[in-house]
Amino acid sequence: MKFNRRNFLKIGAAAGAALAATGKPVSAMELSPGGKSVNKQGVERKKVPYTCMTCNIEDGGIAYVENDRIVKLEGNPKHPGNRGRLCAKGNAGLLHVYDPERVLYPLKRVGKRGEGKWKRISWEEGLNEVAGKIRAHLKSGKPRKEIAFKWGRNRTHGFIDRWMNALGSPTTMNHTSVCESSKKMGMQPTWGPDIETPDFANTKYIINFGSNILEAAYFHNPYAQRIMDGVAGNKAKMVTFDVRLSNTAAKSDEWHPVFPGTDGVVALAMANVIMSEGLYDAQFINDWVNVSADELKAHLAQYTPEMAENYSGVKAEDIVRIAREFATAKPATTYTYRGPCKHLYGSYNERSAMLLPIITGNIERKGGYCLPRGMGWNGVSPSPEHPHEHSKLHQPDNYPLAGHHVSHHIAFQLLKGEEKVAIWMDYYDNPAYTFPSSHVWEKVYQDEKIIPYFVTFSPIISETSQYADIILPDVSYLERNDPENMPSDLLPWISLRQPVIKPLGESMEFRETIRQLALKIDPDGSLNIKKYFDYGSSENYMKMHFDGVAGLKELGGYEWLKKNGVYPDYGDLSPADYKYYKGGKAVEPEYGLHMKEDANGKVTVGGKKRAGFGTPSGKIEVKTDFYGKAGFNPMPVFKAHPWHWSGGKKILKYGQMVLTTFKWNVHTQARTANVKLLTEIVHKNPAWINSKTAAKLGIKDNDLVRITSGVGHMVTRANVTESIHPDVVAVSTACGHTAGGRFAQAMNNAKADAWARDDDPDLKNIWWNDKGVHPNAIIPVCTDPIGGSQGWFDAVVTVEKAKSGDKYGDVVASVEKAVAFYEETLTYNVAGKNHKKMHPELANAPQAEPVKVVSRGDYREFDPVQLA
Amino acid sequence: MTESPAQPQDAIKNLYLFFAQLFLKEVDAPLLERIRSGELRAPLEEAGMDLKFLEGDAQAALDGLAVEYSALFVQPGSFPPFQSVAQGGRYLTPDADQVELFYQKYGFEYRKEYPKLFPDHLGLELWFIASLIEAEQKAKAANRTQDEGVYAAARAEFLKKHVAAWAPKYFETAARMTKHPFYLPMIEFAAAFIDSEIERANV
Amino acid sequence: MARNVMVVNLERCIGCQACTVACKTENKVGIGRWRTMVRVMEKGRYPNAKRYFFPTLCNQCGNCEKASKRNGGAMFSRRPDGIVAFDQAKAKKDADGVYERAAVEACPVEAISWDKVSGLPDKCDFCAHRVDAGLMPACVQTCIGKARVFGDLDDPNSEVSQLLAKHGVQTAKPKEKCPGVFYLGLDQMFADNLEGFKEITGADVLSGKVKMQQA
Ligand code: SF4
Ligand code: SF4
Ligand code: SF4
Repeated sequence: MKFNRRNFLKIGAAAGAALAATGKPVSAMELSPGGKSVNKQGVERKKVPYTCMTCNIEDGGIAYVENDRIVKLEGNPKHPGNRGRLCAKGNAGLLHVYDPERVLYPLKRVGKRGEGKWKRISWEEGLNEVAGKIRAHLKSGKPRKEIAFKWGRNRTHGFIDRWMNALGSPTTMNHTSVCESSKKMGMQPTWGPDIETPDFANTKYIINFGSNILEAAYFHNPYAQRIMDGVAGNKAKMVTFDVRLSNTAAKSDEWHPVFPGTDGVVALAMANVIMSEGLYDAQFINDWVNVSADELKAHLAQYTPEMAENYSGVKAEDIVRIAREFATAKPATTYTYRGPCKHLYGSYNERSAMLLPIITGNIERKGGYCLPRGMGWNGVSPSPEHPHEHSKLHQPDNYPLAGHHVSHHIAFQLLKGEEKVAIWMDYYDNPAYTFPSSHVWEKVYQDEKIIPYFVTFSPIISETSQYADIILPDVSYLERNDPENMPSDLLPWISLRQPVIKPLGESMEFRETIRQLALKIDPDGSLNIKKYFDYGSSENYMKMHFDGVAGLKELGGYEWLKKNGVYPDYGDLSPADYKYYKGGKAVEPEYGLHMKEDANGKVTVGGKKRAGFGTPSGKIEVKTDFYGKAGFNPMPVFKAHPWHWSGGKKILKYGQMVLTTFKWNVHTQARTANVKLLTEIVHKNPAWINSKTAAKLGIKDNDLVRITSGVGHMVTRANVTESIHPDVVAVSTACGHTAGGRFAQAMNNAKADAWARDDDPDLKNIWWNDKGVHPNAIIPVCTDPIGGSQGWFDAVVTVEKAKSGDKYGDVVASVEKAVAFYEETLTYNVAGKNHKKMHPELANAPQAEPVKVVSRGDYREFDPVQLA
Repeated sequence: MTESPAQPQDAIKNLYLFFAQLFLKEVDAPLLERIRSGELRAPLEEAGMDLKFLEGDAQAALDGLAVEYSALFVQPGSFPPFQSVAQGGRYLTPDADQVELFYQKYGFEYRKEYPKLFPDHLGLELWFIASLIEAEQKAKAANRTQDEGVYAAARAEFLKKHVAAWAPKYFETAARMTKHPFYLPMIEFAAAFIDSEIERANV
Repeated sequence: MARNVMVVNLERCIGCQACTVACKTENKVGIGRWRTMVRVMEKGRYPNAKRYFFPTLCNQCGNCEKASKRNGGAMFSRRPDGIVAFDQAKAKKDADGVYERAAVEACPVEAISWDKVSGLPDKCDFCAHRVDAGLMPACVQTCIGKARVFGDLDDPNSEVSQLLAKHGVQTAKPKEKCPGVFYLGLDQMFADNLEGFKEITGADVLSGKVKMQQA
């Protein structure tokens, strides 16, 4: 082409009237030269409290805002959970907001699914299209359950349920089974709540079974602070059982590498030692446990330290010693979030670990293992009823105790045609990256016969949302509203997530998108949907949540919360001891909640009725009918994984190891990969292999290795280290993205031509070119038949030097083989052929009664009292 | 072509507006018609563009253009044409404030209509220059000689301070990103035009 | 006169990198360079492997200032409160950056990195802008383990004075006469591994045996 001044002028002259269609984006206000000068400088730096959500812990933050721009994030010192501090992810949070790889406009797919061809559309068009599809489906008389909604992180506190209930569909799908569901299902039948709040700061002894709490998990930042207060300040001893030297293990006084999935038997053996040596708290067991000390002794006798040593590799003498230390070093606590439960029969492991604080009477004591404290807000009425239809995607057959569902089965159920889907909505979710055998999800998302219409609210184009038909982009966590609470401290709190700045571009808060969709689906209210979304705005919705909360109401309700971020105000944080002081006195938590007098209590202790625990008997149910009735062992037991053990003998062959994954302190599962300040710190994930094992296999540090599971193989590099169990190979998550952005994909300047972007000066500074290799595709499904959790840390793999032709980053996974694993794992559920084989001890137990799970669609939906 | 003093000024202004429109938004139906069959076709073809691919079904042509527009300027992995992104790697750096301040100083504001944009969008910066030209022309017509000079100076300053700071490099990168028969020549065309404008501002 | 120092209690450092990132967002430090980082080191054979976390940052020793001045540079200057401040605007630029390069090379703890965008050196200045506004440095503010403590060594009641009075402390390099960063609990094995580590006592610092040099 040739351009010269003559061309310019000609085209310019011809272009004259071309503008009418666009409307004038810049218009004259005032035409006197010099106009007015608006000085944007010197505007005071604004402080806006918010609630963090780069991970799921909900710490309090303060955003500093200049010229409507977030310039810095810091912790909110009024927030009793994180006490003014943010973790690395929280500190980097503002990069989520201004990321040029964020979706700022609704996009509609134009080419084939996943081809990456999009066109920008207006919200009007996008909302009309989605609302039109939903309305047509509702009007068609087809089953409403074909409208499906899958979320990965739902901090809306009931809003998604409102939406799906209003639409009349039970097909809400969560993500909990890839996370902690079996921990919850171990705990809830035992003592009511699904989580514990250990008083680390005041403890003397911590037994940590497979939790990497100093790097991740519930509640990383708050608990890391308290553990350091306990360990460094209070000189508590910390003992960690983990297959890998995590940072938590590294900060422990003792690290005991265990064979994967055997922490449960270690805990049982310790409990056995404590019971048989009379180190237990007889009074507590008598008052508060639903089995007697003698019954416990009899049950635990089978779990000798020698047996535990055989499985775990931890020396019997260490097991005995630690058991004695734990029982005598009062107060003491355990922590498990969340290693032991992520195995086949993980729920049993969790219950086994819970025994230790229970039999030593460390429950609800200062420095012990405490119940979670909570605080709530008001519901928003009217509220739609839960639909009566049943969807197997929401709750599959034959997992009667999986109260938090079995979300990682859904792709397989869809492949097998167990349920039909018409419209699939995706929110804050990336199963094509984060779920086991993630390639199966990819296949399902690609298949327009299985998912005819795919809407995502994702603000990024991820491994999952790349397959969407339409993107209605949500905002970042700093531009949205949510009510929040978490039991991250013994002082309960509620907090507000509020927009710190206006949403960027045309991105729209999910809550608002749904409201607008609802009003379009049911403009006249005849479908009975409109009335649930007639609240005006997200702000109003928050107002309805908070304005009436007793105590907060007197202070000014929602408006007060907007200014302060968190309620209650516990006083001033002292930098000396990190306690809150009010009127010169330190604010201390309450202990002994179960002992509180309560006229309606089911348990009488000391002649008074007590509040007790949230179980049918009001006591801690070490023996639980829920399990018994559903066909499982009502007592905490250990089941050796048949992939690893046969008749008490390890059956791993030469080169075989158990694959385990882990999180880093600077990353969440998937969303942080494009945050350059975090990805700079961790961007690759070589396979950790014990030096002795590596030597045996002829593998040297940094060698290319091939890791082969029953599903497929991956090629990565070896990190030969002293910090891992010889039978384990560990590959971290958070790396190896195939979508998600330039920093996530290590698209540095050398690759600028492929990526064609060199805008960010930091792109020149990407000093790494390795983005890691993601292992999830080759990890087979392996489901705890009780809690329904994915056994992330069970896969048996063969590790060898890479073969000729292997390239770094290769991931080859077969859908058929993944399906075969799914079929196999079904044989362990209550109806499967392996269930009886795994429970010979129940041969004479009465026939299991069918148990119906009460599902309320909420993430804390399993309620043992209701089940009773 | 004889250049009366007013005509090239108009043509330059219109060219700014033309590019502003091209970068701000996808090509819409009226513009498509003007390009493929209207008065724009001849000069564009004369400049060497092959527009045959735009013939046929209008919706298909519009969709094809919209997809390329999104791939170049909108979706993740594209290069959103904002000064902040080009210079700082993220949206809404203080550059955007500087640009907005500049608009305001001369009495202009960006009306946040569809599509919602940050002030430092390439299309808006070009539109602003066109608006300065228009203001200059009006001042001239009303014999406000002093104002006329202020607007002319503002235009040169804005070009040098903002547009020149990033647009040429932006065009270079964007041109590497596409082989599209419409957007590639248009980017090259815009680059050449802006280069010549910067040159003129520098003398 | 205040003498601002930082004490890093290694027993409390969990290697979480919150400080690293907070420093970068506070001071707009791009990637590929660091004002502070937490080094992670492993030692020992399985199953007795150990991992150590070692936050490093500018020790405010002033060597850079001297080296820079010797070479005609002027961007570093020690403030009366001990902070070795710098002013990029005062950097004396020349073709190969020789003036400020000398400062970079003089740093005993490799705490100065090149800001590739400005083409000039950058380092920790104890967040002087925050300190002047009465705030803790950003890394201290966010420290999850409460490992980083900052304060005035001239105030006997400050937490840093108390800590140094009570504990044995170490500096990253023994020969520095005017350190502003002290470590608590630097494991001796670990120290042995890092050439140059040596224990000095808190009393030495407090009694003035280890003196700060005024520029
Ligand atoms: S742990 Fe970190 S990411 Fe999670 S809520 Fe707290 S500050 Fe935010
Ligand atoms: S004191 Fe400030 S500049 Fe120095 S390391 Fe800490 S945050 Fe960075
Ligand atoms: S924030 Fe504190 S605990 Fe975390 S790595 Fe830094 S110094 Fe260590």
